[in-house]
Amino acid sequence: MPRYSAGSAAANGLVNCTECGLVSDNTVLICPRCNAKLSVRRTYSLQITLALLSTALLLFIPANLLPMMITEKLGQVEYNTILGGIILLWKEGSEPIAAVVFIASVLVPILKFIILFYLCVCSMSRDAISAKARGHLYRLTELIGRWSMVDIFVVAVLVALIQLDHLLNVQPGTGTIAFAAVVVLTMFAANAFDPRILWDKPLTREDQDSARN
Amino acid sequence: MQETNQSITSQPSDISPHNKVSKVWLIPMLALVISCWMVADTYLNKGPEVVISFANAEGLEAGKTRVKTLNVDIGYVSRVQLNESRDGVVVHATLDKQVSEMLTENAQFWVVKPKIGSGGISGLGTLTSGSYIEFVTGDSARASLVFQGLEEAPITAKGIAGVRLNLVSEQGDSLNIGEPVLYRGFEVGRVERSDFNIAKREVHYQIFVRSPYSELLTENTYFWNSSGIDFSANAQGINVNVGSIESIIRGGVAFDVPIDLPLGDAIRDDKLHTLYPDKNSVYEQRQYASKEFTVLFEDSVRGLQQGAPVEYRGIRVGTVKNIVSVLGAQDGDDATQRRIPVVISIEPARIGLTNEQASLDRISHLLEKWTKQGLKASLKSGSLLTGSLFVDLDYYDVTVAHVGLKRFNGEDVIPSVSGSLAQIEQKVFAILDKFEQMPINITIDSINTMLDSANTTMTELNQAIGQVKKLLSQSQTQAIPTHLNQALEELSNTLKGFNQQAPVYNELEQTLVDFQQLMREAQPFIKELNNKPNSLIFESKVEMDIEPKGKSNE
Repeated sequence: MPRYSAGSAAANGLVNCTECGLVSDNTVLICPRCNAKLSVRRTYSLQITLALLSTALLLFIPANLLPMMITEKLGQVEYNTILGGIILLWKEGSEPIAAVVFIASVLVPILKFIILFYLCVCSMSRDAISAKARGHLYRLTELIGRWSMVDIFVVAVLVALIQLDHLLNVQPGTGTIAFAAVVVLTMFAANAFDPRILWDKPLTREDQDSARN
Repeated sequence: MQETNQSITSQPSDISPHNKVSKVWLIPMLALVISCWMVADTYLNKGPEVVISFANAEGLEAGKTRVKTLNVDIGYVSRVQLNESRDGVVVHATLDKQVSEMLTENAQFWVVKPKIGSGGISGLGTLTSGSYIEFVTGDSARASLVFQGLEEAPITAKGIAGVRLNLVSEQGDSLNIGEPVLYRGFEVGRVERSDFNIAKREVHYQIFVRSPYSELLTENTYFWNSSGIDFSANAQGINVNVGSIESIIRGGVAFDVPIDLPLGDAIRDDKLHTLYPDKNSVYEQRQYASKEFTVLFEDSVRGLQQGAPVEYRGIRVGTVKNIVSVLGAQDGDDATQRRIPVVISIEPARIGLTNEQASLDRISHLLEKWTKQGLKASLKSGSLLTGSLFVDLDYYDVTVAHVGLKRFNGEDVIPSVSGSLAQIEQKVFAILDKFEQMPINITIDSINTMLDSANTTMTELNQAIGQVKKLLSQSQTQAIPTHLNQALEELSNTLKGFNQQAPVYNELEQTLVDFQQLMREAQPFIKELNNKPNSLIFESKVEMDIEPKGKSNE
C-alpha cells in the first residue's frame, strides 16, 4: 500500500503489538506472545479520537461557564467558576497558585485539544511537519494529560474537608462534572489515537477510496 | 496451523468493508443534543429580568446580591449601573420563572440592611450574609418589569389585610413614619406616611390599622396624637397627661370612640380625618353642629379664652367661639352699655339632642323660652390658680318676667349678669357704702348719755352699802349670836335625857327584848294556824310516829 512510508513496519509487511511491542508478520492476527489483537493500523482510530475530542470540546464550554465550587461563607453563597477562581486567586495575591490552577485547568486541556486536533489534521493533509516532530507532540500530550485532573482533586478535597454547615461549607458545582468529563474524554481520545498513523503519508481521496476497496 | 491463519488473514480486502463513518460519532452527537436541550431548557425556564431603580447601590453587588421574597431566594442582581441622568442607580436582577406572575405593577423592592432605629433593630442577619433585595408582590393586575425601589422597608407589607386612613393635622405634631397606632394603649397599626401640604399648611398622615383591629374603626372614631407629655392649664385647672414610655420616646396615634357617642357604621377610608393634638381636645373641639349666640358682658373678659367651655350648672353645653373686640360698634351712648360681645356656640349634641340641623332650630326656640324664664349668662372663674374664666348659664330672678333674646349685630343675644366675682365685689362695696352711711355720731352720743346715767346709779349704790354697814355695827345686831348660842345649849340638854345612860333608854330596850320573846313563843302557833286554819275549832290530828317493825317470828 502506497500510503505507508518506506521505512515503516507496515510497508515491510510487519505489524507490531501495541501491548507488548513484539513485531510479527502482518498476516498474524493475534500476538503470539501476549495474545493481544494485532492490527496494522487501528480501525477508526482518527474518527474515534476526533469524536471524543469534539465531545470534550463541547463539554469544555459548560465546564468553564458553570460553577466549579459553591462556597457558603456565613450564609453568603459564592459561586466560583474555574476562570473566576483563578482571577480571585490572582487578585488576592496568590499568583503562583493562580498560575498552577490556570496551567492545570485551562492551559493543559486547551493544549491537549490543539495538539490532538493538529495531529489528526496532519494525518489527513499533505503539508505537515516531520514525523519526528509529530512524535514529540504526541509524547507531550501523554505527559501533560494526567495533570488536568488537579482542579477536580482540589474540589474533591475541599468538599470533603470543609463542611461546617452555615459557617463555611464547600459544595461541588455542576461544572466539576463537565470538567471531569472533559479530562476523561481527552484521555480516551489520546488513547484512541493510533500513533503509527503519525509516520504514514497523508491520505489522499484516491488513497482512501483504494483503501476501502 | 500457522498456514491456515495466514490463509485467513491474507485476504483482508475480502472481508466486508468498514463503514465510512464510525459509530463513535454518536457520542459527540449525544453530547450536542444534551447540551442543546440544556441550553434550551435554561432559556425556556429563564425567569424575567427586572430593572429596579435605587438612589444608591449601597450593599448591592452584581452577581452576588440575592433577591428574596419571604426569605426565599428567587434571583440575583445581575448588573448594577448608573442611570441615564447619573443621579441614581439601575439594578438589573434576574429572577426565577416562578415569581414572574408576582411581578405586578406595584410590587415593592427594597434593600434589606442592618438598621438600628427607634423602632428596634432589624436586618441583623444581613450583617454576616450581606445585604439583599427583598421583594413583595403587589395587588395590581398589570404586570411590569420596571420598578422604583424603596429606600426603606415598607412599614406594612402589601397584602396584609387592614384599613388605610388619611389623617390631617394642623399642628406640627411630628409623627414619624413607623410610629404605632394605639387603641387604648394596644398597638394595632403603624403610621405609614407623612406629607406636608404646603398650600393648606397642614400635615397629612397615612396610617394603617391591620385586621382584625380595623373593625374598631367606626364612623364616630376620633384620632389624637398620643405623643409624649401633655401639659395644659385651662379652665379645668392644670392637667398633666403622660403616655406610655414608648409613646414618650416615639409618639403615636391613638383613637377611640368618645363615650358619649354611639359606635356608628364602619369607617370610610376615603374621608380625611382630623388628628387632634391630644385626647382632651377630642372632647372639646370635635365637630358638633352648633348654634352661635352673642353675650354682652359688662365684666372684664380677662382670662376668658377661645375654646373655653360654656356650662349650665356645671354641664358643658357649648364653647366660647370668639371675643369680639369691636367697642366702636356698640349700641347706645350710655357708658354702661359699652359691653364686650362674646360669641358662644351652643352645641345641642352635648345636651342630649341629635347632632343635626333640626336640633339647631330647636335650641333657638328653647333658648328663647329659657331666657324669658330668666336664663342669663355670666362669667365665672374656672380656676383660681390660672385665673381662667368660663361662661356660665343659669337662672336668675325666676319669679320676674324677662325679655328673652335680643338682637345684636344680627345675632341672638343671651342676657348677661355680672359674674360671681364681680357680684362679690359689688356686694362688698355695697356693705362698705352702708357702713359709710351709718349714724355713728348719734350712737356715740347716746352711749355717752347712757354711761352718765350709769355713773349716777353707781353712786347711789355706794350710799346704800354705807347704810348696811352702819346697821351691822349697831350693838343689838351684835347680840344676836349670843342669843342663838343659849338656845342651842338648851336643845343639847334636852337631848341628853335620851342617851344610853338615861333610864328611859333602858326601859325601852327591856320592852323590846320582851316583845321579841313573845314573838318567838307565838311562832309555832302561827305556823299551825297557817297550815290548818280551822285548828282553833277542830282538834288537830296527832299522827303516830312510825315505828320500825321486826321480822315476825311465826
